[in-house]
This record gives sequence, structure tokens and C-alpha cells, in this order.
Amino acid sequence: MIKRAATPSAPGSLLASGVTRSFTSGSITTRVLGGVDLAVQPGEMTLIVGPSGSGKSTLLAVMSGLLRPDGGTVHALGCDLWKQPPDAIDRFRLEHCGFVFQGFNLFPALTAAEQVVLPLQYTGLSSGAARARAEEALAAVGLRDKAALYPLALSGGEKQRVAVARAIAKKPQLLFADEPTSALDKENGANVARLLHAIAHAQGATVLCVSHDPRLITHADRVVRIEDGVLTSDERNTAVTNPDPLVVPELN
Amino acid sequence: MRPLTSPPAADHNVKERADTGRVSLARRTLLYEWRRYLAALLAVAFSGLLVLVQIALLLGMFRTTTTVVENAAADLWLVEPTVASFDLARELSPRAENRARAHPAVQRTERLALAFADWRGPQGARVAITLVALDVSPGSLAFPRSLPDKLREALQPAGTVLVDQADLNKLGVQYVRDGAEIDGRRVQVAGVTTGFRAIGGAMVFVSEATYREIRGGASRDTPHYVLAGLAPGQDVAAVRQELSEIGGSLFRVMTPDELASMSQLYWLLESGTGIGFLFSTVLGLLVGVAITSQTLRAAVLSSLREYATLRALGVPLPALRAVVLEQATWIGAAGFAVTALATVLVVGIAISAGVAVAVTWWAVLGTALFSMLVSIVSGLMSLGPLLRTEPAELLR
Repeated sequence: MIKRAATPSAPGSLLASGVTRSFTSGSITTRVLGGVDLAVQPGEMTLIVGPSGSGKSTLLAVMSGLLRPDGGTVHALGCDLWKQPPDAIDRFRLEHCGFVFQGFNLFPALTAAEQVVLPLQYTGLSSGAARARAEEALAAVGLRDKAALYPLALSGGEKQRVAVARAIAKKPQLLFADEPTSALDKENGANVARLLHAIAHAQGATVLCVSHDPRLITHADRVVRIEDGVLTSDERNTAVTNPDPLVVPELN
Repeated sequence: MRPLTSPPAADHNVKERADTGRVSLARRTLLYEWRRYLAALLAVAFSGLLVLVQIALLLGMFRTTTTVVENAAADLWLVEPTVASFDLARELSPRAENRARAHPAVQRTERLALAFADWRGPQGARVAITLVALDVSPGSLAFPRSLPDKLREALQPAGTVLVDQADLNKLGVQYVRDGAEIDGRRVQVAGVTTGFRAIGGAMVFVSEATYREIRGGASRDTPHYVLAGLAPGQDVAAVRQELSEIGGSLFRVMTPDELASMSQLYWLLESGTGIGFLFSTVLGLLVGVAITSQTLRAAVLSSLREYATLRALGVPLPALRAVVLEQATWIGAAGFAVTALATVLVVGIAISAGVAVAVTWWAVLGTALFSMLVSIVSGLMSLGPLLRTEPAELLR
């Protein structure tokens, strides 16, 4: 049985319609997304869940401008994303998108502060402004005191919070997270989940998260299930357990 | 009242941090993982050293053929038109000297002759030598400026010769005033020169009179070169042009630099060593590029996920390419610095061992460019994995 969430009247900040995508390996072509329609709203955290191989990560990649779909359209912030030339899509991501991945993907040679400053430098911010933003973002994830540490000196949870700080420092309108908690223990996982939820609510950002981690469900405002490349349910989570939103509101 | 003294420490810190400027991923990674990049730096440094030391040795070797030219005080040299290198001299027309002397700007002319001869040392050692016969009168243009005037005077008595320090053993000479034979004529060693080592055989200086005595009937009294000294204040280029027109097909007029360069280039190209040098330079380039590109490539591969994350965050590909090329440039610059230091060391050892080496500014510049070429080509070759980075692959 498919339960449909009451579709909000707002068109959404991130819209996928009729998105299809196949992968070819040798002579075998596998259809990963079979015509997905999804409207994601700003100011809330939307979670896509599904078993592995269900196409959830592919959907995230298509909706975030990382992977070109075979068919269908993606409208992000009113822009028909895949109609743009590649460098315009790069620029769109640079200006509007933050990413958090399962692996923390931090450069071993850079301190926590520098990890955050590095992508900001390409947005045209002066180095002074970039450093101020980085300090702010690290404070927001509770790592003000660890700004000068290298990844080697940080715990897994701290590394993922640096990665979150790197993603949110440019104050993106769209924040994408792929399995952001699966490499973390219970407490750190919950911290990061609360952080993502708080960013959506405090900044009005559109947070789209993909995971098979059931612990994340309690933190999401909306949970979309996908199976075999088709959405099977779309539920609004009324009782979001988000007692301690860390310190994110500082980021404004 | 409390005095208002030093500013708060916190403010000072903030200012200092703001002044550090942009974060350079290339430099931070090079410094943090220097052990990884050391192999690349040494590869660039050694391939540069290989090239520079080879040039120094070749130039040193070929310069020995033109030390006489480079140490003479002549403004212009009259050369038989088909001569390709100073040491491969041919007889000039006897009219050449008169024609040069007739030019009003020419103050002094001298003849210089070269001849192969047979040396028989005091203990009977036989060596093939090159006789250099020159004017030994006061104000001589041909007599090497690098040698004391006393040696020029020592050559004035007939039957005296000067031999070089580096050839003493070869020639079997132990003492000044040792007797020897050249082509069967008795001569006496009147002094010892320095800096006139020859590649093969030995260079022996004699006066024109002694030369005629040794050559006897074989001498047709025709010089191989005529040296011209101009009156002070004359325009060498203009006189050279006028003398060339006068010379026609009888002789060419060359400045000492032209004659020296022509001779060195001839040996570089004709002797086959030039090709050998080119071959080993290409080899050095290949080895340097192979090691450096592999090192850079391994570094790129180990950070591929981080680079892909930057791509996802919208950092354009050319900016990431610039990171790798910046690393390559720093490796090239640091590698060349090591080359320069090592060259100073090697050349120092060579000079103290009496090996003929010559380092010129263009050889150093050429090697610097070579080092940059090695590292930039390596950087370009290591870009492959980076260009294939698909940030979407981070989502699997």
C-alpha cells in the first residue's frame, strides 16, 4: 500500500520529473531509475531510504547535478539543470550546493579550517572572508577548538562534522548528503543527523539525504522510499525527535 | 593610573591569521607529504645534473681546442675560407697578411702556424704533439694573455719550447731546461704553461724562428692564421666587414668569439659526441619523466576522492589541474636548486682534479628549462586519473 503525503502547494525548490537512468555494463543494461517524480521542499530535511541497489544514490546524483539522467528533467531553484552546459552546472553547484559523503574525503595535509576554506576560495570570496566563514561554520558544528587540527588528530565523528562544515560554509540553498552517518557510531551519527535537520530549519535550506540507516528516519521531516528505481512511499514524519539542535542557528 | 601598554594578544592573533592569505593545496600537500614527493624531486635533480655535467665536460673538452684563440689579444683573425675548426688549420695565401696590413685601421699583424710533429722526450718517450708557432716579440697579439710575460721572453732564444703542466708526464719532462727532440731537432724546455691541456697529444709553444728551424725544408713559410690588432678606437665590426671584402676568396675574417664558437660547434656536431649528448639527454628526460610522473600520479590517485569532493562542490576541473601542475612546477624548481648545488660540488671536484670543465650561463639556463620541462611533462602525464574523476562515483 502506498501512502501519499499531502502534496504541499509550493512547487518545491528541487523538482525531478520523469527521471530515468540506466547503467550499461558489458552487454547488460540495468535500469536504475524508472521515471521518478519528486518535489523536495526547502526548510525541511527529506530522507530517501531504500535497500542497496534501489537507485537512491543515483537519484541523489541526478538531482544534485552530478550525474546526467537519460530522460526527464530536474529543476533546481527554478533552473532546468540538465539543459545547462557542463561548466554552468559546475558553477551552479559551486554557488548553491553543499555535499556530505559517507567517506569524509578530507585532505590529509590541511587543517580543519583549511578544509573548509579551500572550496570557498573558488567562490570568489577574499581569503579573509573565507577564513571568517570557515570559523563560523566550524563553530556551528561544535569544532571551534579543533580548527587547527589535521584529520589525523580528529575522530570519525569530528571528521564528518568538518565535512559538514565544508558543505555548509558557503551557506548553500541545497544540501545533499549521501549516507552521512553510516561510518559513524550511534552518538556521532545522531549528532550529524541533528545537524542536517537544524540546517534545514534554521536556514531554510533544502536538505536531501540518502541513507539506509534507520536511525536517520527519526530526524527527517519527510521520508521517501524507493525500490527498484520507483518511489513506493512518501511519508511526513510528524514526531521529529530533534531535542538538541547543537549550535547551528549561529550560522545566520 | 594604569598605563595603557601592549595591545590585547587576541587581536594580534586574528590579524596574523588573516594575513596568511590563500590556502595552496599544492604547497600544503608537498610540505605535508614531502617523503612521497622526494623521489620526484631527486629524479628531476639527477636528470638535470646528468645534462649539466655533460655539457660542462663537453664544453671543457672542446674549449681546449680554442684556448689559444680565446687567450690571444687579436681583434680579428684571418682564416683560410674552408677551415671548419681552429685546430684543423690550412695554409693561408702569402698575400693575406699584406692585404690586412694595408688597411689603415690595422695597427699590427702577426702570423700563427700550427703543425703536427713528433716529440721525443728526455727519456725517449714519443708523443704526437701540436706545435703552435707564434710571434714572441714585445706586444705579441698571439702570446696567451693568461701567461706571464716572462714565459714569452723565455721563448725568444732559438730552440726553446713551452710545454703545459698537464702534459709533463706524457712528454717525460721533469725539469725546466730538460732537453728533447722535435722531428729530430734538439729543443730545450724553457718554461711550463698552465691551462693548455690538449684532448689528445700535447700542445707545445715555439717561436716562429724555432718553428722554421724544426720544420726546415718542410716549411714554406706560409702561416695558417694571421692575427690583426686594430688601432685604438676602431670599430671592429666595420673593419671586419671591410677586410672581408678585401679578402674575397683568399681569407675569411672572424672575431675570436666567432672562431672559437665555430670550432666548438664543429666538434660538438662532427665528433659524434653531440649526438651522444643528445641521446643521453633524451634518456635523462625519459627517466626523469618516468619517475616524476609516476610519483605525481600516485599522489593524485591517493587523493582522488578528495578531488572528486571538490568537483562535487563545484570547483572547476581546470582549478584541480592547476593544483597538480603547481606541484610539478615546485618540484621542478626545487629539483633544479638541488641540481645547481650538486653541479657546484661536481665541477669543484673536477676542477681540483684538473679535468677540463666549463659551465656557461646558457648551459645553466638550458638545464633549468630542461628541469621544468621534465616536471611539467610529468605533471601533464599524471593528470589522466584526475580528468576521469566523476564526483557521482562518490555516491556508490
